[in-house]
Amino acid sequence: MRMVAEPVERLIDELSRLPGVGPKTAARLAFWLLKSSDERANALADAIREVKQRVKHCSQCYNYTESDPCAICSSPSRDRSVVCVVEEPLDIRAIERTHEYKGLYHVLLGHLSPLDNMTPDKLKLRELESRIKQGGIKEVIIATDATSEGNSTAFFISRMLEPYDVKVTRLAHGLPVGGDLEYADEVTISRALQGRQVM
Amino acid sequence: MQERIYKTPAVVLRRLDFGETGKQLIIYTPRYGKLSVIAKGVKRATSKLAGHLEPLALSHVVAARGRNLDTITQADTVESFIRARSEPDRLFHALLVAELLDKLTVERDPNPVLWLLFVDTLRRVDSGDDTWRATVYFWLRLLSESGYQPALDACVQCGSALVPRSLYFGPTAGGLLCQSCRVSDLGAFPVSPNAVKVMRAGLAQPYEEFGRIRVSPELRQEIGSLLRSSTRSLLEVELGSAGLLDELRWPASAHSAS
Repeated sequence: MRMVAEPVERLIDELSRLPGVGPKTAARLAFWLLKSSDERANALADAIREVKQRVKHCSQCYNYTESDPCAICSSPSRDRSVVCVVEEPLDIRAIERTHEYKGLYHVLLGHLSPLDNMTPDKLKLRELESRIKQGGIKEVIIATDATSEGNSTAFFISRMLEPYDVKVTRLAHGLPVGGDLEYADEVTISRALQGRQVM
Repeated sequence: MQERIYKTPAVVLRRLDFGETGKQLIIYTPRYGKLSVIAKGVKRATSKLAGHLEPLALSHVVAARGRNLDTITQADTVESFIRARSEPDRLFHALLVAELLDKLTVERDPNPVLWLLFVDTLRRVDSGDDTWRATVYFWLRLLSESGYQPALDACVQCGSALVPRSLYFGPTAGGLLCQSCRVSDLGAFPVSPNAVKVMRAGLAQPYEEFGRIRVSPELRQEIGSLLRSSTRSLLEVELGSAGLLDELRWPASAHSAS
C-alpha cells in the first residue's frame, strides 16, 4: 500500500536528489510545498524552468549568463589584460564581493581529480589556452581552491602556459581571518611565513 | 564490544563533497584498512580539521563510529609530505600511488604490510630523487600484495620456460607468454628482457637494491606502459593519474633520468 500519493512521492524523490538534501528534508520540503499557496509553488516551478531555459555558459569565460558574452566579458570597464582562473561560477561571486578585482575570469567548471575521473579533457583548459593564444592577456591569476586538487590544477595550468609570454600568478595561501594559529596545520603556517608582509 | 571512539594514523586518498560544508573522505589506515568517513565543516575557511585532512598527508585522526559512516572529530598532521604536495612532478606521482591503492583495495581489509609500503613510498616520493622508481616499486608490490602479481618466471599459459628473444606480455592472461601462447591473449604485446629483469627485481629485492639498478628512459616508458595496461585490464578502467602524468610527458621528468 502506498504511504503517500504518487505525485508527492515523486516530488520527495526529486527533491532528495538535490545536494545536501536527505530523504527526511525532502519529505519536509514536499509537504511544505503541498501546504503552500498555488502562486508560491508555481513561482518556484517557473523559476526552475526559467533558469534552465534562459541561463547558459558564456562562450568566453564559461560563467553562467543570460546574454552571451556575459556582463563581465562585455563590460568596457574591466581590465582585459588580466584573467582570473576559477574552478566554479560560484567562485566569481566570492571574488566579486571583494570589489578588489577588475579583470576578466575563466571558469574551468571543475578541478583536476584523476581519482574521481576529472581529467584535463573534462575541464575548460584548452579553451583557456586558446584565449591566451589570441593575445592581449598579460597576467593569468590562478584562483583554484587551496586543496590538493586545486594545487594539481594550478600546476597543470602553469605548465600548460609555460610556452606563452604571460605572467602566471597564484592567490596567496595562509592563515584565514578569524582562524586560530594553534589549530593551523604546518603547510598553512609555512605558507603564511613564506608570504609574510612588512607592517 | 567495539569502542565508540577510535584513534588511528591515516592518509586521505580521496575526498567527495558531503552536504553543505562537509566532505566524505576515503582514508587508508593500518588497523582498519581503507575506510569511508565523514569530516564535517571542512569546506569552511576557518575549519580546524581541513588542513590536517588534505589528501596525501599522514595524520592522527580520532573518529566516532556512526550507523553508516564514522565521523572524524579530531585530526593532527604527523607528516605533511610538503614537497610531494607542492611540486608538480612529485604530486602527480603521489596521486598515482594513492589512486592505485584506492582502486586495488576493498574497504575494511587491513594490511599492515601495505600500510608501511604506502607510507614509505610517500616518503620516497616526497624526499627522494627518483619519483618514477618509488612509484613503480609500490605498483609492483601492491599488485603482489593484492593477489595480482604478474607472472614473470614462466609462460603463464603453458608453464614452459621463456626465451629472452621472444617475450610477450598478456594483460588479460596476467603475465608473460611464450611465442606459441601469445595468441591466447588478444592484447598481448612484445616486451624486452630488460623490462622483465627490472620488474622481477622490483618484486624480489628490497627498495635499496632495486634503487641501484640503472633504468634508461626508454625502459621506464616500457615498464610504465606495461603496468598501466596490466592494471587497466584488471580494473577495466583507465588510471586517471597515469593519464595526467602522460600529459606532463611522464616519465621524462627531472627526477627520473638515470
